[in-house]
Amino acid sequence: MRAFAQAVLPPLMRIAELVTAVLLFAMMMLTFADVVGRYVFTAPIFGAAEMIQFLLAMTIFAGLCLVNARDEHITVELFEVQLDHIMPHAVRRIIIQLFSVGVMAIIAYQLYQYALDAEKIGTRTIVLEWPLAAVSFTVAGLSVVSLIMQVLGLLLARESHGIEDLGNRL
Amino acid sequence: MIPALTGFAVLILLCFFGFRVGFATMLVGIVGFAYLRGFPAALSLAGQQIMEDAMNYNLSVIPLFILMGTFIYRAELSRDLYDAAYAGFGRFKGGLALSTVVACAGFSAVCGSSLATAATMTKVAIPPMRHYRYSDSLASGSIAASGTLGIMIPPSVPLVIYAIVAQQDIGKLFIAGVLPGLLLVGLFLGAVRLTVWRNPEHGPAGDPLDPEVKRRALRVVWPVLSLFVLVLGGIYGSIFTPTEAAGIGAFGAALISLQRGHLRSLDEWISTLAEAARTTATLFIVIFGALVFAEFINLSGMPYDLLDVIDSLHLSPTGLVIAIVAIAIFMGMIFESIGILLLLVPVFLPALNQSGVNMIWFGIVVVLVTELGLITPPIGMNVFVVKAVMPNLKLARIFAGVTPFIGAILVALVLIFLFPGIATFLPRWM
Repeated sequence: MRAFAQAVLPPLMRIAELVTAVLLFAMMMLTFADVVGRYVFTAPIFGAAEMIQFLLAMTIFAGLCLVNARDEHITVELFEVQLDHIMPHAVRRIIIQLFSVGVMAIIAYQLYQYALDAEKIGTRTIVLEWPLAAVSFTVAGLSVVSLIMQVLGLLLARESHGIEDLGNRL
Repeated sequence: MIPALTGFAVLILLCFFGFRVGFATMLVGIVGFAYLRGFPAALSLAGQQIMEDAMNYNLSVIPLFILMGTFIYRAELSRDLYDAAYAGFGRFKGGLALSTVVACAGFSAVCGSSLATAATMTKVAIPPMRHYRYSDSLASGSIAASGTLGIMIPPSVPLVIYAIVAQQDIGKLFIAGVLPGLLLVGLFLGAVRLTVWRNPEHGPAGDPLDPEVKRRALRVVWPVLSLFVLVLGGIYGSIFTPTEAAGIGAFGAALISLQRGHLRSLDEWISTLAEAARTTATLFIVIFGALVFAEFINLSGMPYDLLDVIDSLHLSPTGLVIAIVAIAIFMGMIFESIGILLLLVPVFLPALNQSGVNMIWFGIVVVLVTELGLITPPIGMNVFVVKAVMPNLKLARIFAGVTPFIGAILVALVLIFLFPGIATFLPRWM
């Protein structure tokens, strides 16, 4: 299992990095081009705000793939030392990780349900008239990938060092 | 009020155990909602809430401002900003610490994160202060404290989050943060002067800067200042929305970074963009959790029960705000800034609205209190960041060093209570 995770996770991380980078870059360029278009060429981009909304949802869940894989979530580290005396660190870590995986699974499942509903009702966006189900399914799919990457990260037992890492990664 | 209070208690226990704050908040929210309305309703609420927030146009300002900050961080401006500040303040007693405060303020004007400000400034400002035999406490304390300017001086991510929770105008809040930010800079400078006045050996004056270094350093001031004026001016003049301002700010920050010789390879672009997206995702998981939790709290009726409690206590609006500030200071010991804003503000929103408290002013007060939380024990994130970048500093020395700055923030708090205009004057003209 561990060897499998070791082989699969790095290329997945690379792809996820690329996807998030493209999405966020698109978001930046779209807002920039929209404003320049509006003031310089009096030609704003049609439906820019809706496109940004879609990009936001996809950026968050694509970014979540990276965050889940490395468990970079925000934590309260007030009683780390005391807790390590009560219970072995590794045991506590596994409980915490399983909890995260469980909640993430609920999120992914509910997003999928939301997408199914959107498809059934056939909701479309107001300006661009794009089907809401399309973006909902994409987001639900990304959340499933992030769940898989979370489990792979757990198998690799790669531990983020929380605050000590911050200085290097900000 | 019992289910809501139980929810809060369980949440705090889960967080203490080490469960990830976002996931814990989400689950307590879902279970609490289910207790009141059943599981099917709670689960579909969660899905709907997450999807709607993920597609909330107003929230798109967050990744773009984070991106702007990440570009600025990569541009390695801090060295030149520090030299530029040193050119003006270095020759005074405590001059290097004074320069640190001013350089942090400059960095904050184009970066909305206090942790990034503290991290980047630690690398730059500690070595010269060591060279001039500054005390470790003054050196590290001035950086940890001045880093908190990042969340008051716009652009500021916590102000955006407050705006969304309290349904206030992001632009107005940004503009409202300008004068309190400047006030804090002034008070921080005063805190440094006071420290060296009491113990002159803590911070001797520096030598004059080499004219060539000074010229090069001052060149960085213009792009930073222009970007700040463009972003804030655009919001102030209602030329563009905060989201558009953030997009333009990120674009401008990328240009500054490019001009300074960074972002020259595709890999560097990808890693910078992915880093900003990661920070965004960590924040949004907490936001999703807190908003689901807030649905449960609202359904439980707690915010309205609190109205009755406040009525029966005959609390004046000022009394109410002071009580909330006290709770926020306490929460600042457990959660970091975003947690306080997301968990505390919704609970008191109806009470604050009914008391007629100016919510722009209140936003500034709350953010000031979260700044306090960033440098006070036991958590004090900024202190930990300084320690993480310079591991050989003693934690106790840094906490000792921030003490005068804690005093300065408290003075700012009192002044903003006495003269609310400090926060409300500028946005009034928008």
